[in-house]
Amino acid sequence: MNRLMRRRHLVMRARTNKKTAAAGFAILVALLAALLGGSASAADVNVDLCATTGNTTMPDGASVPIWGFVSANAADCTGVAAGTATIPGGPVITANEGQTVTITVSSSLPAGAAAPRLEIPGIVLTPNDPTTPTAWSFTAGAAGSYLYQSSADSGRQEAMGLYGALIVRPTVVPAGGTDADPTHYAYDNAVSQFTDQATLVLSAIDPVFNADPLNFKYTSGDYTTGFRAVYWLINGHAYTNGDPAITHTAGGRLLVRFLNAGYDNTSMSLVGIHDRVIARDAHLLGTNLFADNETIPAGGREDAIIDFSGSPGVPPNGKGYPLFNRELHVTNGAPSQVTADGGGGMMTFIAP
Amino acid sequence: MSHMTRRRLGLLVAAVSAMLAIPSGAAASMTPSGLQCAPVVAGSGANAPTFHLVTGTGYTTTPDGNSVFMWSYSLEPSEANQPLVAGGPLPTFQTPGPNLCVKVGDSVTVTLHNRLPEPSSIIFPGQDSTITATGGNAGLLTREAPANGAAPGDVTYTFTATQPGTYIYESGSNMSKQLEMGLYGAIIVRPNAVPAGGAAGTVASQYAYNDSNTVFNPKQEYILLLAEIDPDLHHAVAIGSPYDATRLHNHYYTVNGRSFPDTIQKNGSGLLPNQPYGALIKIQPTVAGQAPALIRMLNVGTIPHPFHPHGNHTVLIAQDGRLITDPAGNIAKTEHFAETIGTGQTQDYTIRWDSADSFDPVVDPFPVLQPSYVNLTFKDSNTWYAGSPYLGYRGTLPVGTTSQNMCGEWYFPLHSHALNEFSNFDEGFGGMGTLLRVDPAGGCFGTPTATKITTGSLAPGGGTLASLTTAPTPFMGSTTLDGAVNTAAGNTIQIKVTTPVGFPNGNSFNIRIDNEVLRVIAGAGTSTWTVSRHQQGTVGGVHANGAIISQVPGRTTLSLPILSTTTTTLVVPTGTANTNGAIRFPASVPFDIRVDNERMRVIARAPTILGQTLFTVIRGTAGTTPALHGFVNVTQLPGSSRLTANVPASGAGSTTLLISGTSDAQMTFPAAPFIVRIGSELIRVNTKTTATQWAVTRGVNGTTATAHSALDIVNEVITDYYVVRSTTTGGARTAEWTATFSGVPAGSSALSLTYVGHNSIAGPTTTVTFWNWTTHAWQDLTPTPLTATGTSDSTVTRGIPVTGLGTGSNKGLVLIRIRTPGTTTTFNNFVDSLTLNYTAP
Repeated sequence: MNRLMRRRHLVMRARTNKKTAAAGFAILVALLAALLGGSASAADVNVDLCATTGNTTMPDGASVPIWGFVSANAADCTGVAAGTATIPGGPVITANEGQTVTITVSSSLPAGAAAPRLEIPGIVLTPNDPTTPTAWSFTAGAAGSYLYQSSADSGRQEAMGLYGALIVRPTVVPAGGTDADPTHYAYDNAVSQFTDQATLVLSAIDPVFNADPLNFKYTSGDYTTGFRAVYWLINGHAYTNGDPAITHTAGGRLLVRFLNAGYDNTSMSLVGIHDRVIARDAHLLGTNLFADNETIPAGGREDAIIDFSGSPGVPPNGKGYPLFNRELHVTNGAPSQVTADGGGGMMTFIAP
Repeated sequence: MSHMTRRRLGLLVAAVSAMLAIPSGAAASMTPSGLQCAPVVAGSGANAPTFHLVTGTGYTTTPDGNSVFMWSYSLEPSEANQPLVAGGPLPTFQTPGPNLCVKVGDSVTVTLHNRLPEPSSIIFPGQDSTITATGGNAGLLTREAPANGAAPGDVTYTFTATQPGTYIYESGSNMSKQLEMGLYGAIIVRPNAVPAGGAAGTVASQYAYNDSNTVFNPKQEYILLLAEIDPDLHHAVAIGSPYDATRLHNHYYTVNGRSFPDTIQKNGSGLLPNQPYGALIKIQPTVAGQAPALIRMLNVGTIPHPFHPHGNHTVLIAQDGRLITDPAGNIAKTEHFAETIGTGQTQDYTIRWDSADSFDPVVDPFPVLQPSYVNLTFKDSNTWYAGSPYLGYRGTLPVGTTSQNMCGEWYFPLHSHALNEFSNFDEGFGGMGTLLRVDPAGGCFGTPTATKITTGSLAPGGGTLASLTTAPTPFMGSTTLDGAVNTAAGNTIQIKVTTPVGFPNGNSFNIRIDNEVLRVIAGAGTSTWTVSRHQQGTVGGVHANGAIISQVPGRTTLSLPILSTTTTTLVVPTGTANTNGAIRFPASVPFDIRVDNERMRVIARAPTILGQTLFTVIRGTAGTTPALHGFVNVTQLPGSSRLTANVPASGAGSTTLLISGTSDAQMTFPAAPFIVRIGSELIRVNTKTTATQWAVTRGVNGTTATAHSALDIVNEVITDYYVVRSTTTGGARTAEWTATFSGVPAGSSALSLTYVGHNSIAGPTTTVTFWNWTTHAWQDLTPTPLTATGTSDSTVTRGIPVTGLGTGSNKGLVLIRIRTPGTTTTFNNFVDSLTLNYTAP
């Protein structure tokens, strides 16, 4: 169960494309676009989210209260029982460039919590009601990776888990691209072409904070009694075992989207292969930057491509390329522990 | 605490100073600074370097006197890198782990023997070829060697180095503990071929990457490996308490395993036996065509560090062992005032230093007032005070201090700009910082600080050769004691000097003997001086017969502040036998002075009124800006001006200098001929065609003519011009004299002497030898003896072995003998200059 959940969140595995079929598809799309007056945007995107409570079980067995966004079927929390959030975070929202996106946020948070207030750094939102907004709209302008989050309660809601990934996709194949499906590009540039992608939302939890998020004093006492994260998460989960969590097409190009929803600057170490950093904060880089240790600032996003063509080397562990928090947040709980195989925290593996 | 206070005092006041004469530790083969590569295992193939690493425990020392339990990788014992054997020697613990240097294409083998009480391993981030691991047990990230060397024993890792660059190796086991404890090190992969477009004569290892733009000066390759230490967590490991990584709270911040100021000690310093890698960065001012220094930076710690150079920006060229390029694939360099290096990252930088301020260690040092010595604490040559907070000034030194910097170089901090990290357990400065040392252009050089005629006599005036008809008046007097001073006591004594020539004829000037400053209060112009002792806060000492006596430049303090930028009258105290004043300055005008940052030329001095003397000055000479001044020091300077037009290295126009004569009245230069220095080139001024146009000989005294630009500073070089008359009676007549160079730093290397001179008749052969302090005998220079004959100048350069540099009580001394056995004809020996060049440690 746990592993399945994690896989679902970690991996958005794209199908391998047959180029000929894809090219024909592209022609069809182009024809359709011409018939429809050039507007490539399909229907608007409407997302209903319910901010609710829940508990998540950490690898050391601790049950930690969390908040999360849960997909709702209506513009309120109807049908969402309180406590149904299983991990911090929310669903990945995907939109195409040009689409109008409306996100409606309702709440079943405990008494005392403010109404969630949505923000997406990098995108200007229009609230449907400026005084007591419950829904926000925007036009997905530029392709890239974004974080949506609730800024209410001075960031405490975000720290509890009210965040998620927003992916904006291109609608046309960029010049030089060899894949006819525009959704196989992260940006309007062929350098961002990928066969597979993994969206990794990074965060951290201090269970003492989570037990009483609205009254916790961040700076009480010394550093050992103030905010002190002890769980380190990728897509809401701490490392539990060594299976490769991220897979990809053989010889393909894996797009890794790092989104830091946590509170500190997070350096992720990729051992055994370099990636190519193509964008930061949804802006393409102007340089060719190949890296294996990149720091993603709190609130920052970074997109990188790992190119598996050309027979890269194989790591000597039987699992894959380790990808872990180089600030050494690779333990669970306090006192810090590791799992039976020696891992923990913000760690995963990418299959060779 | 007093230990701390002393260091802090020096740092706060001075920022920096020299690291002198610290004995080297076991690593005898290390150079004093720069990247040190670990030896490969004996018998490694040419393209198959093997390293035997052993994990173990030890202690690191911190500048505040603490010692912290560490884990690290060390080399197997002995220089031969031999395998551990039961009962055999244990490795010499070192932190960080050894620097492993390989080249592209090498099949690299690293074996791990684990002496820690838990399984350990090595991972190689950034090495993208297949890593083969054999032995040990399967682990999370790689194969692990069991605790305490237990079966199945060691692990062997093998990989092919495919891409040049700077990389980390570190533990892949229980990382939140083992990396904090110190299991990390650096791998340097060099190109195996000169990149396309690389300059002729260069070799592959001079390039950081496969791009000709990454060429660097191979003598200036540095590594800065950044880490942090939480002593509480380390203590928990030492005593076996539970280890809770979430309690991490750093108190020490290190560069190459050391915290500032230990970072600037030499590689292999005996003071830091388990921290062999220094972090002092030495460069020279930019010279056209000279490749920059390379700094390989690695962050093996757990937090990002904003690293900030003073003086010049660093230029980032690569990250994580990969060149950063633009869309066209060309190198994309970026300059940084500070750049953050993330945890686990490596970054490569080039750095050079451009002298925007025309820095010169002698005549244009940075203008900072020297505090009174009596307010400072000194401790011999380990002192943290240089005489000037920005160094570059070689002033009077306190007793017990032979030198406060190496050769007029100066220093910049290079440090983490997260200033809490620039401390040792919250005491600043310290921690994650080092110094960038800028040596004078062309390296260190010196001229004799004293001479003594042993056979023959002084020949004032004299020569006819090389357009030299009169010896230039020395800027400052220099002579030797003719009879020892046997007591440190007494306020007023009489001393005898070898000659008073070159010193003022009027009393009340300051001299220095060894490290004592004395004032001549009677007898000026004769060979017997009455002196008042221990001036300027110095302490009296005993002085040997033959000790060097140097004149201390005129110095006083403004009696009234200068409240206008146009005032041309300075009021200074006239001075007495026991107080500084105008009487310490030349009696005849003009001469140059410095007041704060402004240079001035004194063109008249009025008689004493009410104990004060008026100097009439030209303000803001030598390109400086007139400013307001408080009750500040006034210091005497030699001649200086600036070029007003570019001058090529050779060809048309290269032998004519046009110099500024407007606000820089060239008059304080002596009558031609004399020597000036522009950049690292020495130039002889043969004739002053006009006041501002000089006919010159370029690149004299062993220097090389280089192009100079308008506004470059022209400094008079105060070298002595030596004319020694041979004996005048008897058969074969001989001229023999010795020159003493002092203050050459211990550990200096590549000493060489350049002799420029001739004799007045054709017959005699002059032989120049050095004093071997080991055998106590005069010895020929290398590789062939230095001899010169003839009546026109010979310029000869020869090496001086390290035995020519005195140690112990002769510390810093190089003695040179110039001996010319002649014929029955009386003759003169002329030496235009003797220049000692060396590489300071």
